[in-house]
Amino acid sequence: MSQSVFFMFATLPLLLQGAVVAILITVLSITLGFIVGVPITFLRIYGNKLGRGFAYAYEWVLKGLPVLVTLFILYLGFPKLGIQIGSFAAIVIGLGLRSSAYQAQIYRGAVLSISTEQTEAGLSLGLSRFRTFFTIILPQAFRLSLPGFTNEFTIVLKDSPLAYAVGIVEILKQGRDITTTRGHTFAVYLACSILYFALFQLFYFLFQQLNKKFAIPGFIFSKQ
Amino acid sequence: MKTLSAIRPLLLLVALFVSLSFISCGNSGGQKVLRVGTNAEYPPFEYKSADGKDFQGIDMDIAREIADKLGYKLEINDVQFDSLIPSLMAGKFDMAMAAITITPDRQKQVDFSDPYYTSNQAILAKNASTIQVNSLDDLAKLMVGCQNGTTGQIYMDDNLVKPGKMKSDNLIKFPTNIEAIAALNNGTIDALIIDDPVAAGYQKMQPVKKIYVIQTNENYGIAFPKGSKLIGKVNGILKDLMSSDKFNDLLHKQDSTKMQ
Repeated sequence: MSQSVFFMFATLPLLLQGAVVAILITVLSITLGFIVGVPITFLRIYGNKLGRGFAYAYEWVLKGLPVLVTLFILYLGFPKLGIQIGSFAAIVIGLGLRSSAYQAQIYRGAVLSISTEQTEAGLSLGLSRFRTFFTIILPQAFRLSLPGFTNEFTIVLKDSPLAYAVGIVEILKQGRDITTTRGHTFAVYLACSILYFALFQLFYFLFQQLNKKFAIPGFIFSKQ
Repeated sequence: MKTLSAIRPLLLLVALFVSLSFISCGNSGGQKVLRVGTNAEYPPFEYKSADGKDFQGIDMDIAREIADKLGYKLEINDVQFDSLIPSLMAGKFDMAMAAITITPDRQKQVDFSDPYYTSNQAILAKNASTIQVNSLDDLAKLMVGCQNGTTGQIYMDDNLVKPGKMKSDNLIKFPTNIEAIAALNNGTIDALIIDDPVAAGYQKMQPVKKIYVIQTNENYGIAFPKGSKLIGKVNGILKDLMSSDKFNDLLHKQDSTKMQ
């Protein structure tokens, strides 16, 4: 038993190297999700019929696919079409596109939760529709979407181990490589889970601080 | 717009990383690169060194020799075993080395080098186990584990499950040997079918013992995408290597290596 505990500590340096990769995958995927998700949000809310339809279909399809399947399509299927995607790019695109669908939903919910009276007030003060949106609606919507965003971030973090399927050495794959030659299956996977949980807590804490910092003073959610 | 300005530097950083990761996918540098695919979860043929930095094992040493003789830089990619052939067909690697048995089905999808190793299938059980296997019929009564996509799995399916001698529920197919060995140690399965030399490797590092050998006389070969121009050159290098003492040393090195 004590040997296993010792072994858990011995695996830490390798697992921490994996953690760096896991964080990189998560941050890049979330950012890709943001870059794609925000325009999808706009299309869904402000687009014409065609735009709204496209955004709807986009969310619908990507939310319905398991990431592992998307990953294999990108990594092993796309080369058949003459498009080579590296393993790291494949996992970032796979996780990022799925995240974009969920992020679009989060931002849409936040934008729609801001009452139309605010837009009317902005317009009646002589602001353009564009300025009303960017100076009044969006800053509030960003704050409102932070809790949902935090959730999405941790979900992507917890899905990052899928990268091992295409040979990226993140936390889980480091752990597997250790058990291949040295055994201690339970100790190694326990060490992995503790590390994932620690990362989860770290980011959860960071986003909560951000949430506090950007909280709207005196904001009341409902009039009741 | 505090939130936006806080995000902007992050976006720049990310754009940099993304562009870097795309660049690193190309074969940069003057020297030609030999991209070898493997599944480094299979000692003594391929596994990671204890510090997690190097790929070790018989196949990896042969790959190094081949790259050396070709004058290429070696790049090893570690993916799942059942993704190796699809990866070759998708043009991800120039060749795959992972104790791959040459089979007619696989030959429909990829080309193979000349054989470089002959192996049989072994049955592993826990050290504490009292199970005895003296025939295939004995084996058919047990809960047997295997790695999906391996010749062990194909052998069990073709010779026991499909002819109806064994219940298909009694053959458990794991994605990799790591899960299979863990299941054997936990008592989820009674026995594990695995390539003989790998069984010998596991015997050294895990509390398991070999209880039976099925003479299958399988040949390991290096797999290439169909029509690869490398095959001729690699066969030449393999032939030279196998007739030299180096090959014996390379196999012997693994015999004496203590994995723990």
